[in-house]
This record gives sequence, C-alpha cells and structure tokens, in this order.
Amino acid sequence: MRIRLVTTLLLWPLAACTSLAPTRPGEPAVLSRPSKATTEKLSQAVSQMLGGRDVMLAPDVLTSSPELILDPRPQRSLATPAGIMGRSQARPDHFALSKTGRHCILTHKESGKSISLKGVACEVVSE
Amino acid sequence: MAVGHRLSIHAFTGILTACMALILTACAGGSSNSAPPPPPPAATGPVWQQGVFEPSDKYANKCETPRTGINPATNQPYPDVKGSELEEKFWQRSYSNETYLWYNEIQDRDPATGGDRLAYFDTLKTTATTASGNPKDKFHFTEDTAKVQQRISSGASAGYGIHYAIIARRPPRKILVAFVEPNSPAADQGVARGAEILEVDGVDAVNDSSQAGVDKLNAGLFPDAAGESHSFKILDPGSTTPRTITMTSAIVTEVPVNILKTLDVGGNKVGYLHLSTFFTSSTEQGLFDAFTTLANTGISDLIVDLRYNGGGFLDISSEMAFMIAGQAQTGGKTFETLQYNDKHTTTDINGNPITPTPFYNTARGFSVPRGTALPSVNLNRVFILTTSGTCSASEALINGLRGIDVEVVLIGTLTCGKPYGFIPPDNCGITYFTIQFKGVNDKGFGDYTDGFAAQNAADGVGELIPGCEVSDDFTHALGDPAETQLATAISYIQTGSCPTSARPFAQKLHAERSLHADDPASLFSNPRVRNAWLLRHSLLAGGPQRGEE
Repeated sequence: MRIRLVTTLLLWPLAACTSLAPTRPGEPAVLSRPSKATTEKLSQAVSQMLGGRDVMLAPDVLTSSPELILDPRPQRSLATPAGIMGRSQARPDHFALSKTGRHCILTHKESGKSISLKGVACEVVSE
Repeated sequence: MAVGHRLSIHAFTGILTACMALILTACAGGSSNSAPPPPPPAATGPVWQQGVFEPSDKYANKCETPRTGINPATNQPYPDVKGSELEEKFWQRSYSNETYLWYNEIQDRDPATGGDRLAYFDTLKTTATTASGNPKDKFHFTEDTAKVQQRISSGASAGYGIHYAIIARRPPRKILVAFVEPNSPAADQGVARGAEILEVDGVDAVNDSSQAGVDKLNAGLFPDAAGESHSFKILDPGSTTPRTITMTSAIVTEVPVNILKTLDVGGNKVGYLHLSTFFTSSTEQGLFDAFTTLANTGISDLIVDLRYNGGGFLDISSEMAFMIAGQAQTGGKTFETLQYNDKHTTTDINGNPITPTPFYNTARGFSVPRGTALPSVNLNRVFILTTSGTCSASEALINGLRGIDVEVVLIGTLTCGKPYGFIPPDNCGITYFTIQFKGVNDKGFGDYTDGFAAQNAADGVGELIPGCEVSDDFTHALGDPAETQLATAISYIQTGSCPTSARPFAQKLHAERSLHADDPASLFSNPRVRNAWLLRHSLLAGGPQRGEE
C-alpha cells in the first residue's frame, strides 16, 4: 500500500508534465494567442519529445500553419560561414498542432508521440 | 567447489581490506604524520605500432571525461566509459584509417605524441595539394557535439539578419554584407549590401589574428542566442567614414528563395531566382512555389543566383535540378552517387547500402507533402551566378546537371570546391568532421576540388566550364539587372558570349588569386604589397577566399 502510494506520488508530477494527449484524433489547429511564453512552452514540449535537444523556434511558428518543421541548426563561424554539413542527408522533424475538445495537442509525426500543451490556446483551422 | 568458494571469500575479504586500506591511506593523505605517497603508477594504455590499426570500436567511447545522463540526439544514455585521452586518440587514428576518403595518405603518427586530441586529429588528413597548389583537404573540423548534433530550429537562427560574404577569412580579412533580411535588426540599423565590417566589440575584424580576437569576432558575428548586444564598426557602401552601431540579436527566419523575378531580355522571358540556402526544409516549398510560377510564366532561360549558397540538403538540390531540366532529360539518370574509400564500396561507413541519388521528380517531404509532383521549366541550359561562397550542395547542382549534358553557364568567380561530405561521428563529446565521401555525377565525375570556374578564368584554376569570370558587384542590389554578374548573364543570353567588359574584371581576379595563395613566396608576404592590395580593395570587392580560420 505504502509502495503504491510512493509510486503514485513519484509518477504524478511526471504525468502532469507530459500530459499525454487524448487518443481521439484532433482537428488541425494554430495558436490563437501567440506570445513569448507560448513559444517557450512549445520549445519545452518539442525538446521533451526529442529527448532534451536544444530547440530554437521563430516567434511566429504554428500561427499560420498547423505544421512545424525542425532542421539541424548549422553552426556558423568565420571558418565555416555557411555551416559544415553542406551535403546533408539528414531529415527534418515534423510536428503538427491539433485540437481535441479543449486540448491543444502537439504530435511528432515521425515518432507518433503527442503532448497536450498546458496553458496554450489554439483554434481549429480548415486546411 | 567448496574450497574454491572459501578461497573466493578469502580473496574477496583480502580485496576489501586492501580497498579499505587504500581509502584510509587516501583519506590520511593530508596528514602531516603520513609517509610520502608512493609515486603514481606508470601510465598504461595502448601501444602504437606503425601501420597496425585495431578496430576503432575497441577504443570508442573510452573517454578521459565521460559524459553522463541521456544523449538528446539519440534519447539513449551516453555510451561513455572511463578511459583516457590516449584512447580517444587511438580511436581517432583507427576511425580515420577505416573511413577517411584518403586514409592511405595519412602519415601514421604515434598517438602518444603530437599534442592533445584536437592537435592530433589535425594531423589525420592528407597533406597533398591539388594541381593549383591548394590543399587537397580543406575541410577537416571538430565541433563540440552539444553544439552540432543536438541543436535544431524552425529555419530560424539568432542573428541580425545579415548574410556575410567573407572575401578573405584570414588577416587581412574582408567581411562584407552580402544581403540583409527585411525587418531584421540589421535592416533597422540601415545596414545594406556592400557594407564592410571593420570591428566587432572593439576587435579589429580586418587584422586581429589572435585566438581571443577570433573568438570574439565569431561570438559577435554569429551570436548563439537572441538578445545579445554587440557593437560593430562598419563602412557603408559609398562612404569613407565608418560608423559604429550596436545591434541586438533576434530570432530571424531565413527565406531561402528571397528574390524571384522575370526579366524581359530581347522580348524573351528570363527567370531570375536567388536561393540563399539548401539548409532549411522550407527551401523545398520555396522552390516548389518559384518553379510553379516560372513554369506558368513560360521562361526561355533561367538565371540561378547561388553566390552565397553554401549547400545543405542534397535531396533538395536534386529536386531543384529536376525542376530546371524536367523529366525528359533526367528520367533514369543519377544526380549524384557518393563514393567512399575502397573499404566501403557497396555500403557506407555505417553499413547502409550506397544508393545513387536520382533526380527526384516528386517532393521528398521536407516541407512539401512527400510524393507531390514537382514542376519543371524543362530547360537544357541554365545560368548560375557564383562566388567562393557557392559550395557543396550548390556545386552538386552544377555537377549533377552537367552529368546529364544540361549546359551550365557559370557567371562569376571560382566556387569553393567541395565535392566532399561527412557522416560525422561523436566520440566523447567531440564531433569529428573528416572527409568520407565524394559525390560524382551521372558520368562519374566529381573531381572539382579547386572548384568550378568559367572557361575564361584568367589563371585557369578550377574545373573550367562555359561562362564568364566576373567579380561580385556589391554596388548594386541582388536582382538588379545592372548588377555586374546578372548583367553579364543577360548579355550572354543576348550575344552568346562574354561581354568584353568582363575580361578586365577577370584580370583583376587573377591578381587577387596570386595574392591569396598560401605560398610563402607569395607577393602577399610583402607588407607593402599587402597594404597596397588592401587600399585597392577598399574600393574593389570580390575574389575567392583561400584559407580557413
């Protein structure tokens, strides 16, 4: 009983953080009140789904399209002003924002992982 | 068995006692009553035997300073275990022997000598030179893995919206503004194409050669995050008086196809497209939209401006080649095949089958839904505007089209000469960029280490192809028909040859090349000549860069 309680207490914050998305498919959505705080929450969600990678998002992502595409970010310098990987065979990561009920759901298309975004407002768009 | 068990217990007890004694000794190390500590044991580790290479796996992830936790790039725990710098160097040596394109041109040196791991890695490359005397391998780097493999973005980067044209990377440097993104910090400060960067945060951007200076220049020119303020002394085009400005970095989203227009040339429609990068997924959508427009317009010629395009996704370069040439010319043909060293003839260095990249006639799913049919303008000739900033996947476009006999007319200066690429591995927190493959076209050609140049290039350096050698013109905006490179392309379309005015430019470029050469006997080693060159170049921009920093 005690173990179960401890386990529950340990897992509860994790569940609150990840807040896995409802299973029902949502409708494509965009952010309805974009702000610096919203971009920060999106960055954290994306980073969480990608294992903690360093994510840089433009302030207008997911405001005109429900799709977010992320590429490797070239490291530039005087020695390599255009970046090093000039013949890249990398592939981007694609995310989609959808709305299910009151939930704004961010889904990583390549892995199928989803996160319900807390404190983020979105609205359904017709594609 | 019972005896053995008892012995094991004895042995265990003995080891435990020894360990405890060791710990107590260590703890008592600071006591003034203790005996002097014994000398440290002699360092042990792998021993170098010239020409004998053990598998790199034997030394992989044996790190002087192992990382702990989860690797964000793989979402798996770091594989690092405690090792030594010597083992890291042995890994470099074996890995280079396995994967470096010219592994048999590396002089085998004892990893126990030759400096630290970065200095040792610097020696693990060919020292051969090309026919022009330039280094055969100009692309040998290391980076902090946390910076290169783990950072992703939505096509955005922290900066001022400036795209630099770095004419000379080493002192005396010449850093010019190639173009500026609209609505960016630089645009707000009135920074325009042709402005020269003279100082960054008080560091002389032209002459400072100290590592501290270079670090400061890099930090200011290429900020890591938004919100960083840096001061710049710049010389605006047409001005003789520098001004000092402070710019605060912001997150700027690059627009890859930032100029698309149709020009009327002798009653014919000629497309002009400036493509700044293949590095972002949005390039695919930008090109799709641009070529849809051009195809609907019905152009007879196309001028593609790649002069500051350092490459990026090879697949998008292939798509662009299809959009230029169309199905009839590209069907069944190879855009590029990657060739590794002779230890990897059927599979790449990670064991994946080597498959040629075709001319993709449908989108690859970067930013256009995968499988979407691509538009095409179906041309058998294309004009490409170039500088030394035209690199890698941009050169692959030139080479890929030439491989199927599409006429590529090069207007500009020598390209960077990078038919090579990497599949960079991480070991112990460092990512190693060592050339592993060469891209060849449908004809099997990929030897353009000196770059592509126009056939009238004054010094004849590079793979010479049809076109006109013309310097970059920072006195006009990109896309302006009066801008020298674009004007030359237009003239060539009308006359079928280079304008006579292009030749003097080429002669000036020849002089610049001689000065830039990494040759102790170069005129450039003479300070008077160098100073005279600098004075002249405060008015004349252009020419290839010849060094790394």
